Amino acid sequence: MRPNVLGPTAIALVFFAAGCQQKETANAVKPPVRALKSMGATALSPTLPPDIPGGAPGATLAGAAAFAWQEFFALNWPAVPQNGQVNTRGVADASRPFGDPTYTGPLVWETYRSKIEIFPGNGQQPPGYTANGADYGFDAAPVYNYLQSVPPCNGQSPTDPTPFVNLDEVTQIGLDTMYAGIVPPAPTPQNSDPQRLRFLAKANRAQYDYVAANQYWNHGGNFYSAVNTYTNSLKTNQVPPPSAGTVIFFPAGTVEVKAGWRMLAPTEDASHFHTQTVRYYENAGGGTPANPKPCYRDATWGLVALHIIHKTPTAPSFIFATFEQADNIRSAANGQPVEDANGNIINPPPAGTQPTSPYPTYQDGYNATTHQPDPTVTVGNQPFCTNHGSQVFYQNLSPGLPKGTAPGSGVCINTRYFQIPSDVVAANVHAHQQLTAAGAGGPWQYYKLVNVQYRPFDVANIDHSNPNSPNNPATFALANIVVETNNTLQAFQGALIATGPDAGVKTSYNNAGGPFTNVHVAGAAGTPYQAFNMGGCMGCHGNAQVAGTDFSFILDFGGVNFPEYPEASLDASRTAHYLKGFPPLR
Amino acid sequence: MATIYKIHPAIGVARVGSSSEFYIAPETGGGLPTDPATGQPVTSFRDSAGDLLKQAQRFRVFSYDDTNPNDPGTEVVAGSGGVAAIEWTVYLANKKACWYQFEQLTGSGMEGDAGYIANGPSVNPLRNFLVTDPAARQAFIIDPGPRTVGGSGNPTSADFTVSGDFSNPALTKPYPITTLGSIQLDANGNLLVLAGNGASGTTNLHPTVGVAPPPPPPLPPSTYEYVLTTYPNNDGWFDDVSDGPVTANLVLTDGTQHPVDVPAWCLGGPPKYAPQIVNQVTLYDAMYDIAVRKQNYNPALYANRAFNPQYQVDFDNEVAPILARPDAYQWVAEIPPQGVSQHVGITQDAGPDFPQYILRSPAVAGGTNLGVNLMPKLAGDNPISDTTMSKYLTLTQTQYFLIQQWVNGIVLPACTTRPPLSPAAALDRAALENCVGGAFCPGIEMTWICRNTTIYSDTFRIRHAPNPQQGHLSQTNGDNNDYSGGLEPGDIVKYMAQPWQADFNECSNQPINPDPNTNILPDNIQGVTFWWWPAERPFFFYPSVDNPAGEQLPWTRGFYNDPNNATVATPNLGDMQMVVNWKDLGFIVLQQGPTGPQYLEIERNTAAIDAYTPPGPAPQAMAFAVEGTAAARATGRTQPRAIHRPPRIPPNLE
Repeated sequence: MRPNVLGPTAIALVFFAAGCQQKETANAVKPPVRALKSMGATALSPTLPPDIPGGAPGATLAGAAAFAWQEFFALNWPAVPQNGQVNTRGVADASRPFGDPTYTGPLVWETYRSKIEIFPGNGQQPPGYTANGADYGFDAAPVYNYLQSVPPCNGQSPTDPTPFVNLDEVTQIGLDTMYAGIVPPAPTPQNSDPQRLRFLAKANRAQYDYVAANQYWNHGGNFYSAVNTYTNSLKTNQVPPPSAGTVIFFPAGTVEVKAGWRMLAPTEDASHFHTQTVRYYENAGGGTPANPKPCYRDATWGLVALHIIHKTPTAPSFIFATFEQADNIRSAANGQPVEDANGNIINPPPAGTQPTSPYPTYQDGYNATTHQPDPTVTVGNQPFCTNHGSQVFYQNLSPGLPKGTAPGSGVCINTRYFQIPSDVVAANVHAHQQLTAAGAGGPWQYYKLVNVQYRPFDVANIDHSNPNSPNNPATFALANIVVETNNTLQAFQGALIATGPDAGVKTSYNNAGGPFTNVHVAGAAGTPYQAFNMGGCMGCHGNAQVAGTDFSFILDFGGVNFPEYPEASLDASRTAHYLKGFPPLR
Repeated sequence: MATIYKIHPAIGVARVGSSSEFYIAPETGGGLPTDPATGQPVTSFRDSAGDLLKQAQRFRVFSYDDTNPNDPGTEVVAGSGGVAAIEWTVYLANKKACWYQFEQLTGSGMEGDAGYIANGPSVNPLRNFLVTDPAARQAFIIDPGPRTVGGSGNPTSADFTVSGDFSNPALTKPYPITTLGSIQLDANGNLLVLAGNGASGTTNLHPTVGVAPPPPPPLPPSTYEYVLTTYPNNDGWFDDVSDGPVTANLVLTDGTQHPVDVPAWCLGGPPKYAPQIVNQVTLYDAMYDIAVRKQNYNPALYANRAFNPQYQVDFDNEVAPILARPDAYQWVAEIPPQGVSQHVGITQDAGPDFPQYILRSPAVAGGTNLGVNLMPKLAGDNPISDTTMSKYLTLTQTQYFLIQQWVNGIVLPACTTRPPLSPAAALDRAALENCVGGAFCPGIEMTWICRNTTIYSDTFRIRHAPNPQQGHLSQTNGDNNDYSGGLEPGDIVKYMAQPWQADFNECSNQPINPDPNTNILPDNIQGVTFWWWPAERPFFFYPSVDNPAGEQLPWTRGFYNDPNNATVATPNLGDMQMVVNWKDLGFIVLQQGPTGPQYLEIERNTAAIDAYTPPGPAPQAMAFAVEGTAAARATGRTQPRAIHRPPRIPPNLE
């Protein structure tokens, strides 16, 4: 049977985690007065909401959007002073208002542990880990222990404090690289690839506690046994009883965050961006392809994307929300933003313009001879985009994805595959009103919620009749325009093919030619799973659930051997690394 | 022209079986054994009564033109070419009980270790060291003397029957050692060496001490008739694996005899339960690495103490086999899904940073203690004690170099390969390629002694001691780690676990402390699970071709679990069950499934495994209830999710 294929529509991905609600709110005695004045559907509060009121399964898109904004407020709240003491990382400073213009320190989510702080490349215990200390030493100051120590680049002071924002990813999970055309492209001594977006993944106290308690930081403890127990249960399609052994299942309150950052152009208004000191990585030189030599630099960059995934009591498949800086998508014609800060189209491209230039076509397929999925992505005779102007654009890396041959050729972004639903736009309007009323607009009024996935549904049950339906196609395909940009990620469903000529292309087939399901909801022990071929972030992270790591790719990948930096000779292996985090298509 | 004669394979491997029938050892790496009657790959590993077939190693003679170094050799067949017959002599023995205790790398004289003599008995005690009388210790050697078949006046078969306390069923439990195997001729006059029956037993009944150094004071006599308490050293025990020289005389049609110039050696070992799955590092790889780096075997690749950076690698023959091996491990270990994807992927698209960030480097000082996140996820020579640590397996230096060359694009031009091995050299390679080449803790067929260049008379050839005499085999040969005087019968297997079943049971997986400074696991650190030798001793498997995507199960399901600190009062019942049930375990073989070839289990004797009864009281149920089912807990019998070899505190710290 051929699975129902979404077609040239969209979806997105996220890669992150969650936290201990009690610890995060430990110092948040009560929200500041200015926030209290503006309580509405989206209260301006430093408290991370524990769940969607009434529960995720029955929520409306509007209710889920309000929940996402509450997450955004809580996570972007100024953090308490970071001194390594207990209950400091991931804790909001309730004595400060949201958006405090006098505050330049890290925000709550920025103080979460970077993936390298949970999964060290040297395989040792996470920095600051104490077996019997509070939260296993979660609050220790950041230390980034890759397989080999990474020195500062030439001219970079080695004595600067270690930034909390550690940008150790330079691709969109190895599928493509992402650029902002508005930034001058010429390399500088400080940045070899100034237009390039860089990324990070972090997790909160709850996830760290779980990983530390089970000693999974290097896939130790009983990691393999737990993964085996879960994947066995998927094979037999029976929820395992407790006697079958432990499976990996994060607690409610677990949060992962993924963020996209870049240099700002001199022509951009920096007051429209949240800026922060970030650490990014460059080629130190002197290395060989088989022995690369990264070094680090610290600089002030702007936040352009923020993903939040949050497990709640009623959302065991996590709630996925993604926010963007307002001006990410710019017109090819005039360089001005296509959307306003709320997500309304204000500068539409000419009629007939496709979402991207060129605009790939996708066709899923299965080869019964090779017993392999056989999808195709092509751009036909459409030219690649070389005159980027101020647009954001991407360049595919993966073997199965179309690539331009001319220097700088990529795919320019004209619009989203799916417009932001009006209920989400309304939530943005309301949230921005809350910020303005609280005097907390600042850069935050230039960020918007794109969409939120709050319970799984199958591709066969997409509701095309109502753009605000819980099953609307934009929600199914939730994707951030600068984090999950290419055709595979903007319209994700099923799985990614990990190897071979089709590597990096999505498919909804398994190797037997049947449908691949990526999200599984457990009922009582011994009963079959409720299985979905979900799209977007949730569907992609569902592949990590199939791999036995409960939607967490950072746990799936485990130890982070080295930080990524722009170096074309490493792209192939980087792609392979990410793709192989996806499970076999059984 | 001068003709010289050599026996191939240079080192052969016979494997134990409970049946009197046998199959022929594979003559390709990763090949199936063959049926002696048909020459075709076997489809069953058991006889009609269900007993496990032995693996016979076939040895042949090849002639060479001594003036032509490129002569591939010609097989000598009795009854043709002027050769009337071949007279074969084999001398097998087992010296385990009188040799040193196996203490990981300690005693090896390698990796900074000083060697047995310098270490002294406090560090490297002897097995059965409470017995000090030389004659009594000599009696520990299972020494049947040589046997000869073929030629004129000799039988066509001979048995290595032995006698001693170890062969007396009244004194030795559960199984006395009555033979080390046998030899016979095939239809072409070639030699077949058959290993023993897989019998292991002890004369130390109801023991008061399990292993030296004894815990003072001795415990009361065990309530168990016999016990196993450690993976490598169990005093009082014997097994029937053996090794020894293989020599031959050609009986020519004119009545004269011509001794074969280059003899061979035969190793004994346990069955290889996944015959088609090749170890990531094979014994051939280990010996080839020594040959390249220390015996000037391939000067184009390595000379003047360095690899040649211009060496163009032959991808198909030198790299692809290394990359293909990890993928097959999914059929014998519980490789997580992301690991399976990684293993598939490295055969196709390993990038330029592959060696640096995927593979653990064998060339870095202390590299075997670094890189818990790196590949292979296989245990090293010593992840157990803090003396001469070697936590993780690495590829050999030669394997690692070849991969680096490939990654760097230094490869032979397209569509070109190096000349294939001659048929005789291919036999040498195949026999070793089906054996474990690491980790050597101690290993399955042979241990780290394979890295000692003094054991070789030539590449892949064991140096023979002259004229070993029955009853007079040395108790000390090699105790200075110098075998320049040659090896006697039993000098290779003496390093291996006593009995082999104890190590075989425990060496499934291993929790390793990733701290590079210590192997001792604190109580609050569980360690990272690495595997030992799943290609020979499977850990997890898929049970049936009818259930190709179904649940993966423990290979030793139904076995007793292993206590963390076994004593004579609470022995390791898993090890003891392996002494009985090794012959009942299933084989993992390639079959055609609905979506392609799959390695699945066949011929498991579950009834016999479930019928096992310990030679003493069953353990308290909960003492062993780690991860088994409720029913398993009730009987103290579990489905072992993980059988851990407990980290052992070195003797000098006890």
